[in-house]
Amino acid sequence: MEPHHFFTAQRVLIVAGKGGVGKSAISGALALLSARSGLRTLLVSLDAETIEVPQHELLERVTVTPGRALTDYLSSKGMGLLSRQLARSGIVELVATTAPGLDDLLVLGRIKAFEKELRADVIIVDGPAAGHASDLVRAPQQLKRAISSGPIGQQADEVLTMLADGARCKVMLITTPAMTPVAETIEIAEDLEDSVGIVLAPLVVNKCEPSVPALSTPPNNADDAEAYEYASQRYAAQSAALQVLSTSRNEAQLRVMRRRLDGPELVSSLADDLARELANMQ
Amino acid sequence: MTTTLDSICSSARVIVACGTGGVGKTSVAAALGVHAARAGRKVVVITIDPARRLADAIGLDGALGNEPQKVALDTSGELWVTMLDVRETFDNLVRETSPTPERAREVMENSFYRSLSRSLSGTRDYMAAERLHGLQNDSRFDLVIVDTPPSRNALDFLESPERLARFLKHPVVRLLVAPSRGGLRFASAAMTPVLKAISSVVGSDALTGVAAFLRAFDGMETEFSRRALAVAAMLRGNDTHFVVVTAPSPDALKEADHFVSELSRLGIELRLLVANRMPPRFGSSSSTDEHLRASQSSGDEAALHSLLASMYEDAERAEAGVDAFVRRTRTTFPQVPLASATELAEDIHSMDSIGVLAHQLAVAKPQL
Repeated sequence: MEPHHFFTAQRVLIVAGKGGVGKSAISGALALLSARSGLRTLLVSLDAETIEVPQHELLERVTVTPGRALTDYLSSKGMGLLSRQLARSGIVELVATTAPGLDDLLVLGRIKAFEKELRADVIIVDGPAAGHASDLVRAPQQLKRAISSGPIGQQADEVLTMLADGARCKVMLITTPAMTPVAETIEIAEDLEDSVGIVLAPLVVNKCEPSVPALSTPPNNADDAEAYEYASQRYAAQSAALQVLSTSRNEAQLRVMRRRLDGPELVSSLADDLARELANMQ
Repeated sequence: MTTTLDSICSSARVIVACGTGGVGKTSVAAALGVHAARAGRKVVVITIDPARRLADAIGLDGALGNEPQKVALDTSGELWVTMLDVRETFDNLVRETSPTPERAREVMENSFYRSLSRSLSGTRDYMAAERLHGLQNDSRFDLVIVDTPPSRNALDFLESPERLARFLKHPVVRLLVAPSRGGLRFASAAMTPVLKAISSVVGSDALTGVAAFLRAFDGMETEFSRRALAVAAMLRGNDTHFVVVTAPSPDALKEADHFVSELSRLGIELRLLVANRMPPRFGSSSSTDEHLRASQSSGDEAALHSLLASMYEDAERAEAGVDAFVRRTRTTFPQVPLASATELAEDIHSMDSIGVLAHQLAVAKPQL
């Protein structure tokens, strides 16, 4: 599949995965690949702490935090003065406490606004850790129960419509090839589909290890033999985890190797790997 | 021989393990528990968000909630495990602090309370602190080990009791409780501009619910605040030991730096660093040696030595990364010791593998 084709299959791609799976690096790589394929791309971070991504003329970055989303939202409703008052009196926190899930809704609402105003061809969201991904996309639904009227109720409706429409928005789950993250990914995938009707993009399996070479005779040095045995066991554990993932989930898998890189070099090399994997995908 | 781990596990009454996701923090918390139980202590490990497989390994099944369960271990001490149930903890707290059972019921039936006790963020932090306080005063245990939530803001729970107390004293909250503006009239024109403003955002239903909650809750906040302060004092006491758990990857170390600076900001002493999931070494060979051997051989032998070269390169990078991290940390906490454990060949899936981890962590290491 051409990257261009892959990225235009939806306008918003929310990338989610537990700590340690390399979610921010994969998000950056996807955004870079999208920009390289000629699409105007917006990379949205939900956290100020993110990875450095190589520059590209079609790639723009923005950070969305709940506090900012609330003030932006109020300003857009002609309540700019109010938003400044609220910020000054520390009420933002209070409002968020008043309606749990409001902060998540505001963040999604901001992303929906980017999508509506066609801010970019492709919006990649460097999403929350996977446990929190369920909370994030469930927030509008929960909030709908507590607040059915007013601007928030309306906002929740609009966000829910976007989340359930696979042509507008998909969630991409990132995992590593080990049993615990795979089991959690399967659980979260089912949860997202059942509760909100989210459509999932292909899964990314990051940090894969290369296969261990088969030897015709075992190593004769005891240390080498032990090391070889360890590597073989690790590889077998990876294969078992991938087997479980493939049996449980029908989504295509983009498998990328672990890289000994960091920062922009890592992002750039992951973008190359993802392009190769996409090319092999039906 | 007495090791660092022995001294921590024998003197602490509370151990708090902090670390980002994916570093094996829950396994390390359980391993510290095993070590302390082997030394004869009665330990309870409280985990906030365990991975399912690990929960199975340490004997937590799906039905387990707030009530601690005993792990079958062949030791002189005891190991118990429990998982935080936010809702149940909050309900118990309301029951204990409420002047009458009727008032407790009124609070618990309130729609705002129900969504508050379901929501995960701030309430979870506070309930974790509250639960910790409860377990620490439970005579069945003499050591509580806390596995903090796997988030960057994991240490928020340290400040959550004060934050809640502050929230309850907030002028706008007091305004909502004030009887003159209470009742249904509260959604009327008598509202102050600030309440009107909040109401225009969240809708008047939500605010009415909050007001009803706060009125039912009124008077209970004194006891809440008192307990909050007791928890805060305990967390900062000498018997509470903080441990930062990390893995050797650059992103994990970056997060570990963040935890170290947070502890320093909060004025809390760091007692132990744990470097978990280190790539193992076998023998004294190095990546340079193995590259050389690979280039001087062919076939199977070359393939083997290339594999070993790559494994030892990982080990060397990991060790260098952790060394640098330990040096950075010691500029803030000069004496802090390091314990480390290797990535096991198989995922942690049983108490046996947690026992192996405990053994590795307990081995005395020469100081860097």
